Amino acid sequence: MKLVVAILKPFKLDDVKERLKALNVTGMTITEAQGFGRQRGHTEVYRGAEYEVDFVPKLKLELEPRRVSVLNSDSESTTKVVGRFKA
Amino acid sequence: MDLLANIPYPQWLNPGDNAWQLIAATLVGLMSIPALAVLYGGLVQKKWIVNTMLMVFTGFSLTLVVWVLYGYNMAFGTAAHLGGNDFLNNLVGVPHTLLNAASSQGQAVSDTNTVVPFHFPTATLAYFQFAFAAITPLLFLGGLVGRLKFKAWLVIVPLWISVVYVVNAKLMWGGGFFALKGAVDFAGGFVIHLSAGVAAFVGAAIIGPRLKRDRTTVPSNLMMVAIGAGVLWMGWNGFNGGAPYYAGADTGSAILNTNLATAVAVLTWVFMDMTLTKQKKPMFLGAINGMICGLVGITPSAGFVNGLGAIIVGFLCTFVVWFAWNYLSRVRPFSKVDDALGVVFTHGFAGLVGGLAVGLFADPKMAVYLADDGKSAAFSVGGWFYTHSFHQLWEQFLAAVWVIGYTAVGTTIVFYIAKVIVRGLRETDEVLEVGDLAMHDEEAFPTETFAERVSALSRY
Repeated sequence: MKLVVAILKPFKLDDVKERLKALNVTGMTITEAQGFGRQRGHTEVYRGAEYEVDFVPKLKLELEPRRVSVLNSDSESTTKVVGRFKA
Repeated sequence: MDLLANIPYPQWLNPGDNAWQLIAATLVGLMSIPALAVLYGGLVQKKWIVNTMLMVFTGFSLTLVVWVLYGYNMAFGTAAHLGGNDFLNNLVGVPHTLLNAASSQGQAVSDTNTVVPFHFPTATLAYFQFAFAAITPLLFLGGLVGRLKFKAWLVIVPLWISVVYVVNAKLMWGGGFFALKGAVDFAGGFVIHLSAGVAAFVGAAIIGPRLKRDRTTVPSNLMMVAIGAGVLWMGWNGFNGGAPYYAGADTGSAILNTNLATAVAVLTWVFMDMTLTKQKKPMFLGAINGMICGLVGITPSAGFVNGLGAIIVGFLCTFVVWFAWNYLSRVRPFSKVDDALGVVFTHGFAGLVGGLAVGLFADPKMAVYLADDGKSAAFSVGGWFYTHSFHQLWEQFLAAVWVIGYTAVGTTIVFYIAKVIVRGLRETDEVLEVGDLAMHDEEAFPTETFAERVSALSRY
């Protein structure tokens, strides 16, 4: 049993949640986070001035071991599900 | 008592004109509160929203008190004959209050308008003109936000109205020197916008720049900008529509022209952003800059030009200001002064171009007031395009030179006096790092989670 932590693109949350529910996961914690990886940031322009925005919005998902039902006690399949959707 | 003898208003009062003038005044008031409060609040950084909004509301209040106590009469009252020439004899009015019944309810009189008598009381004219006076310091506030001491603001507003505004208003509108010479300013392109642009620039130079961090962070809220800008645009119907002082034909023309010029100005800025910038994208804040250029630019000529003139003015003002904003801003002295919201461009340059445009595009057939026959124009203005004479342009040019020069000198004097009184105009870097919380113990978006009340109001 391990604590599963995943960083998601915000629009993927619903898919991940539904798949995890299907695996009988009974709850999860979501934190709004900022991050950058391969995706990098972007440029914004306000009144002619450019602004570099390195960080983009992410969601940090945490699954405590006790939320993962006995049917999936090794949490392997849970990790696989999250891994498929990971940002 | 004979009931038939009771009448609601005197013979000289026209209820339609009075009602329109009060509605127009209220529309202009809405341009200050809430429009400028939320427009500026949306454009500044999140940590400066409260400070900016508070300065807007207090500035509005300060001007009204000054206006009723003496300001109105200095700008629009009987001329104080200060010296032996036309200029000094018509520089300012005799300062006195509007506090008694007669000064409030008597028929409005002004040297401004010798063509037809006013059909409403002094209270109406004073409130209408107050709304114009009040918005002027609030416009130049846009150049000063993010570092000005609050106490300095409380000193600057009444002083600036008393020293700078009333003189420009008297000279251009209150039957003063430039009005007598024939310069015109339909609703305040020079007296309000050019003057506010110059004051913002000079004031910002005197106070010094914001923190580097505040100069390089994003605006706080574009939806608030949309609300402020929208109220500003519609409020301008009172600004330019109220300037003829009568709910007449030229009022309709002025409002239609104002909106037409503004629509063209918005589209021009968006089109220029889409074709001439590196990103080649249409941008909302660009559209808003264009909107302000159009509104400001048509202000000096709203009821003097015809529809074609309005289209040309809207295009021309955005065209010039767009280049000034994107290129002139990079060269001295513009690159060296932190005019926070760019007031010198959107108000200063647009007001100047619009004011000069009167001398080019004013149509003598656009009658502000009619002659006895009810048809021909008793008062209209002719620009070069129709008269092939540069006379009007020259008068406009002289008035512009005066407004720029006098506002620059007057603003410098006012700011240095304020600097002595409140010991420095700029907050300490320590306070500037924090912003609203350090200056007012408030923030625009308080966090509920960690806030717990530790002391009750004394009345409980």
